[in-house]
Amino acid sequence: MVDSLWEAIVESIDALVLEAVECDIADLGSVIKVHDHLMELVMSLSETPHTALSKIAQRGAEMAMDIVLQEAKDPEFNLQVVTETTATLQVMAREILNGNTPKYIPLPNGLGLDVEELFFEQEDVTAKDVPAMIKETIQEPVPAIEDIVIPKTLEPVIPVMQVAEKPAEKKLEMPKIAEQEKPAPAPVGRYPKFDMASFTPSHLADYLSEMDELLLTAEEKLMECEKHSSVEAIQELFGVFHTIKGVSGIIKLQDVTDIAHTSEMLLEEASFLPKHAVDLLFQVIDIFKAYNQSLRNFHERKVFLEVPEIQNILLKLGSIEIVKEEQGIEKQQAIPLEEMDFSIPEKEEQNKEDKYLKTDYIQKDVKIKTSYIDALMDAVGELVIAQTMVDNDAEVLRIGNAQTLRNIATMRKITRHLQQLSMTMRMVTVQSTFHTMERMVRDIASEQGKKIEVVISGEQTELDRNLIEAMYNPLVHLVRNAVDHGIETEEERTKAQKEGNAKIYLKAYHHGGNITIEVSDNGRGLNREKILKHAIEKNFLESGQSYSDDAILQTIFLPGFSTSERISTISGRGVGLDVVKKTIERFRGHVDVFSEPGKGTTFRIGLPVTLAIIEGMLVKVDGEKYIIPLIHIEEFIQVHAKEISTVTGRGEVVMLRGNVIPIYRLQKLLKTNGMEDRENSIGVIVSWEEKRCCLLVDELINQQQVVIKNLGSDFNKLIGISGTSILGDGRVALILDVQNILSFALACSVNNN
Amino acid sequence: MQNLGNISGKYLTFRLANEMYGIEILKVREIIGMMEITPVPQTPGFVKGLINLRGKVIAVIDLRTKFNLEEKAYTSETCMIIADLVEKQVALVIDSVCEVVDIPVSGVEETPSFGASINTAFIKGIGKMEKQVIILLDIEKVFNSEELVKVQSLT
Repeated sequence: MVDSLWEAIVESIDALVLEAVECDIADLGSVIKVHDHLMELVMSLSETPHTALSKIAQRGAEMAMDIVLQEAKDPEFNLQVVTETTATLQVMAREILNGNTPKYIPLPNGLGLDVEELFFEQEDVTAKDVPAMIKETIQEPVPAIEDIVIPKTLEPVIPVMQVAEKPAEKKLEMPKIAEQEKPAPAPVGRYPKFDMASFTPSHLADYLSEMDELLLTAEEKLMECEKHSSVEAIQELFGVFHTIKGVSGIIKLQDVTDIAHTSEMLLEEASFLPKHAVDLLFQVIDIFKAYNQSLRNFHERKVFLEVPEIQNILLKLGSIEIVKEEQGIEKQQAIPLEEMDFSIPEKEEQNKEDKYLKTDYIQKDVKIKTSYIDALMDAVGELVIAQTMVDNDAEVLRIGNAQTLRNIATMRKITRHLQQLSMTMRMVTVQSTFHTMERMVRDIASEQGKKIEVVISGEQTELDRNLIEAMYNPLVHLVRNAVDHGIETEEERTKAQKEGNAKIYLKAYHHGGNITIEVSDNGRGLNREKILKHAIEKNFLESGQSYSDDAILQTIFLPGFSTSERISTISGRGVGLDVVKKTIERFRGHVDVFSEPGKGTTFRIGLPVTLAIIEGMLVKVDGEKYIIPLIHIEEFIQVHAKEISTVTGRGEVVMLRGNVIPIYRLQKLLKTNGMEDRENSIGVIVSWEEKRCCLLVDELINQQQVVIKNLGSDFNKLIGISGTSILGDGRVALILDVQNILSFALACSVNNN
Repeated sequence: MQNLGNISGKYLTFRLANEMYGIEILKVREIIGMMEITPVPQTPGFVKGLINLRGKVIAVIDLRTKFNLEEKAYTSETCMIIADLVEKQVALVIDSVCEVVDIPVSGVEETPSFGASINTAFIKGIGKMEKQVIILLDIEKVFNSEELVKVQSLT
């Protein structure tokens, strides 16, 4: 090779790099100039042995042209790639000038070329000119996405993504018909194509989170379709698949795009979805999920774990409207053609697409990393503590200047507002959790041949995000139990002459400042006798005693209740219910069970709305400060010693507007030393659900917002104390657990009587 | 019995009554002076209560009480060692901190048996210094052996 010629090329490239850097997206003239220059290079490079560079330049020119023709999806991205390309060319050209092979230089993302492939082709030509590169240099792990996927062969596909050859020959026969009429199903044996160069990691992350949402919506809509197949619902579902196709197309995820497209075609003109079509679409969603999971693993720098089965589903989807007889596909039944109302979309497709393009998508939500929200929460929590410290500061209290006081008050207001805002940010609806449960019920029920309807109410109820996450497993447990054991088989239901469908109800609602989530079924209910027998065997209860129904039912939450004998002996409940209870209680919630034989079972979970901050009343008992959550406080009363009457000499009560209210002395619970009777104490009337009692305290200090700090597992057995908080003076105060105190206090008074 | 080689290493030594104790230096987060402690009901005597350590609520354990040594009023030398346990932090009230010592393998001996009446599960071994023996604590086990909350009748 003539060096002077190459030097001229290098010079030319240098000039090009400058042009590219100065190139402005708004000034198409400059883009065109870069394009032309690149094309010039293509010409001159093609005459040298370095055809690879020529190809790179060619690709860069194409990308530039896309900008000019307004065909680029993201012109700025394109321009960036073009600029990077010129820079890459520059480096490569110089390497060649120095007598090296430039093939270890990474190509820009998004160029869509594979470096090794390019240079492999010209290896023979350049082998003599250039010292052979050592293989290892290329295979060194470099944490850039395109380097990871550099295949070791010429296969333009990521090897791990390949779907294994389908073993099922039967399916191969089928698409013949399909392909005649439908262009969508891909030819058999096609490997899934996935062009890693067409997007960056951040694109992928955006795509994944968007897909998560889309799939959730798709699932909801599909379930809706399954219940009452309406044209509207199907159209909505169509819209979702369309969007999936769109977003997957952007990052050139060919497999997903194909499936989405085929599904979309299926739905396009449909006015009714038969069961097998719904099943198939559920499978499609599962495949998308698996695909997402694979991508996510990849994104997090792991390998592809599984490769979703793609051909199969494409074929099934493609054939669904043409199949006339049983084709030997698992799960797919013969479908009488008349039953199906699909017509083959042809030219109308374009119009349809337009219709959906017109639907304006208004961005209502922004995605924020949860770790940011958590950090914000912590910071706001500290701010609230600091604000309280300022408010209680002796020096601040002495300030007489009206302006300063106003400023402080404004500050306080803003702090409070900020706190409320940040609280709302943590809140999410139970909707997606409920829908996941619904899907689960659907799957398990069909496995067991049961027909179960899921009735959801209050799905818009909002709950602290962390709580929802924490409640997920307990809910899965309860719902699973309801399907597995609560709901009888079809035969049993017929035998018991039960009317209507088997149903599982998922309810969420606000209840007295708490959130209640209910999982109930209209199945066989809990068998009181069997539970009692089992509880006696396990020594949870004593034989010969009489117990209330409630006391018996509660034993199913005891650890070890279900471990030995499996469920069937006790009509099925108790699978890990102790774990369920523990998890719920760890989040200051509680769980109750109600059951009526033959009618069904209800699990009611009560949860606090938020985990972080509560309104509390600071009180003093024997010199120590405690916090009573305001939510439980009904009123405060003056209690004179002579107003306290004793019942049978032990239990104390006070009369309030004609009602007898039991008194509970906090000293008893707190085991403090001072037990002397005061002339005057303050009674705090607290209540929860129907229970009420009067707590005696020495002093009311003030009302304030407190940030809850967990006590940790060592202290979760404390009776009557739910957590701690840090007061304005930096000291720790205990938060009283009114719910717990009430049940405890009332239990005591019953004993005393 | 565990390998004595695992026991050797750097220890922070401190005094309780007339005894010298050692805690693995890696488990020590910091040493702080006494501060106001909020008592917690329904806890055994050795749980003094809770403190606020820069926004974190930590349980305070009085090692004298825990080891059944005679109780003594806190002095200016009394301080707390914040120990990092696997899942939590605890503050240990001790009489005074001494020094950090390097205990070689040759300086470690197995915990002698005192008979059934004395629980030695939380003692890793005995370190021998010039004149004194150091009781090397397995701080995790100190708290495994007993629950911090007494489940008691409150009626």
